[in-house]
Amino acid sequence: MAREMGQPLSAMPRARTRAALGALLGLCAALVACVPFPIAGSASREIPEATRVTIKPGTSTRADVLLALAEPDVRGNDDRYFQYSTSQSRGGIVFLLLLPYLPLPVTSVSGESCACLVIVFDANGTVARMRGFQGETHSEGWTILEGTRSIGTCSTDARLSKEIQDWLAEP
Amino acid sequence: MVGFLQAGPVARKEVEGRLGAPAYTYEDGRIVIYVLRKNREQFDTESGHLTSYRLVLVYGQDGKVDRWSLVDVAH
Repeated sequence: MAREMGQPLSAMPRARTRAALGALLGLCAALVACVPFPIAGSASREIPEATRVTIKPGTSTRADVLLALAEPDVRGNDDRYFQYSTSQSRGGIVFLLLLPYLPLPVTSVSGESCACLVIVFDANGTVARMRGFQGETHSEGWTILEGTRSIGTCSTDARLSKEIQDWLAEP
Repeated sequence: MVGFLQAGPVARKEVEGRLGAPAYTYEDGRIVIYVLRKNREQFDTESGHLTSYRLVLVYGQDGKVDRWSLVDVAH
């Protein structure tokens, strides 16, 4: 191993030891300051049952659906179908680094799932059929290194997407 | 912001003069949706983090608002 000029042979290991010790102390301080907090469950854009029951196949029109639910998350070709998605969080844990006056989220783990309401229209714009789909709950997490990730959407649930596409393909 | 709709049938031109271009259109513009933000009981069309309402308008054949609704999409 090459030795830097002008330093005694024993100086380098000592400096490295000091740096490693400093890093270790910093890591320990950070870990001690990381406090777990529970994340409450939540849901985005829930479709109330009272609203949902107002949409009736054979009677309700595309205008009725939009007046009740506003714009869908997914529009089929020629608006043949609308898909409304709801992200549901079952709660989890977020680790906060307790800096003075600024609790900084460092990492989190939570259970997420997605529910979808898919509405198919006939050629006249009347609701032909509709069905609710429930995605599986899966773990979602992020770290400060990845940046904030939004709550999972239906598009990330491959099984759910396939189930919806299979149902849409039915005659 | 939406009070003018309660006064009676409103023409598309007046709606667009007040609210601008809609965010979403359906059925060749017969149905349009505006994104609204509620701020201290007042609505405006600025989108952003607080955006949580949609104004859905359905125009009749006479080009006037036939039906409309305000949808809270935050819940």
